[in-house]
Amino acid sequence: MSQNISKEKVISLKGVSKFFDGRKIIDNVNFDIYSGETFVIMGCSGSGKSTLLRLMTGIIKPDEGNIFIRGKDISRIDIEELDQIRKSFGMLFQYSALLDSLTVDENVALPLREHTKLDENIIRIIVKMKLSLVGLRGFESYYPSKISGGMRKRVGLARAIALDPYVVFYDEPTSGLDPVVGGVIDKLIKDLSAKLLITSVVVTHDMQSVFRIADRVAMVHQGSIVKVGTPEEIKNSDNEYIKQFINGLPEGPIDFFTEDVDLFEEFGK
Amino acid sequence: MNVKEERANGVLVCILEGEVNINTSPELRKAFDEIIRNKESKVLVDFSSVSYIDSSGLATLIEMLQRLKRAGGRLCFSNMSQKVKNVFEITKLDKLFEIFESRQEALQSL
Repeated sequence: MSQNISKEKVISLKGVSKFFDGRKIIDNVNFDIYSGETFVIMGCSGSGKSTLLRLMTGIIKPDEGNIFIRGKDISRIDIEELDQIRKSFGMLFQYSALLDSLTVDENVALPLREHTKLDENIIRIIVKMKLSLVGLRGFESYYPSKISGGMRKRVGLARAIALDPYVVFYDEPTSGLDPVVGGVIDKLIKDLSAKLLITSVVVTHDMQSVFRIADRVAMVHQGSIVKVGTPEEIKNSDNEYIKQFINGLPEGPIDFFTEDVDLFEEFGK
Repeated sequence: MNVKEERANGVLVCILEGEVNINTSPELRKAFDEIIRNKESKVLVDFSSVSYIDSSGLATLIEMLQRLKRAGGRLCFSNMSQKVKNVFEITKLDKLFEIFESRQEALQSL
C-alpha cells in the first residue's frame, strides 16, 4: 500500500497542542494521513496517543493548531457540521463497546437506524453484508455476552463499517485478545482497508500488530511525535525512545517512574 | 441520481445515472416498487452512467432480485465501470447477480 502514498490527504494535523489542567498533553503535533493507507500511532500508556485519536475524531478540540479532515478544519466548525463529517467515520473502540442488551445484528444496525432513513428491509440486508465481510454470518441473533472477545471485535468492526466510512479509527484493536485472535483482527483490518479502500488510523502499543498492519508509523512520547516513518524506518531507527519502545526495554530514556518518591523521605523522619 | 426507463425486446431497461448512495437509494427503491407493481418480469439495469454505488445501493438491488425471483422474473445488469464492478466483486455479489458486459449481451440472455 505504501507505494500509493501520494494520494489525497485525508487527515492533517498542523501545530496541534492540547492542555489538561494547565499541563501540555499534546505538544505541537504535525502529520498527514493519506487516502487508503494504514497509519499507526504507537506509544506507551499515557503518551498521548488516545488523546490524538479523540482530537482527530472531534471528541475534543485542540487548544492550539488545526485538524483538517479532507481539507475541512474540524477544530473550527459547529457541532452540526462536525456530526455530518463524523457520519463518514467508522470507530472501533478498545472493548468493542457493543450494547449488551442488543443482538449482534441489532448492534450492527444501530448506526443505520440512527443516521439514515433507510427501510428496515434494506437495513437487514446491509447488516448481513457487513457481517459477511467480517466472517460472522450465522451469529446475527447472538448477544455479545455469548460470543468470544475476538468475535465481539469483529461485530464492532462490522458496525464501524456499516455506513461505508472512508476512514476507520481503531483504538487498541488487539488489546485483550490472544496473539492468534489478534492476528486475525489485524488481517481483517488489512483486508478491509485494501478491499474497501478505507483509510485506517490505528492507535496501539502492540508491536506485533504495528509491524503487521502499518504502512506508516508515528511514535508518540509525552505528547510529541518522535518520528513518522515506514515500519522498516522505525525498525532501523537509531532513536533511543523508539529502540526502547519496540524492544520493550525497562531501561532507557522513557522514564516510567516520573515521580520517584523516596520512602525514607516520606516515612523515615 | 436519475432512473430512466426504456423498453427493448419486451425487457424493461432501467438506466441509472449518478451516484447510488444512502441519500439516493430510496429513490431507486421507489422506482423498483413501481416496476414490481407493474408486474414486469424481465428487468435489465444499465450501469453505464453510475459513478458510485454504496452498501445501501447494493442492498436495494439484492431486495429487487429477491422480489423479481419470487415473481418468477429475472434481473440482469450491464455496462458497469471497473470501479463499480470492483464493489460487486469485493462483496462477492458478482456471483449473486447476472452481470453482462453490454446491454446487447444482456438482452440476448433475457
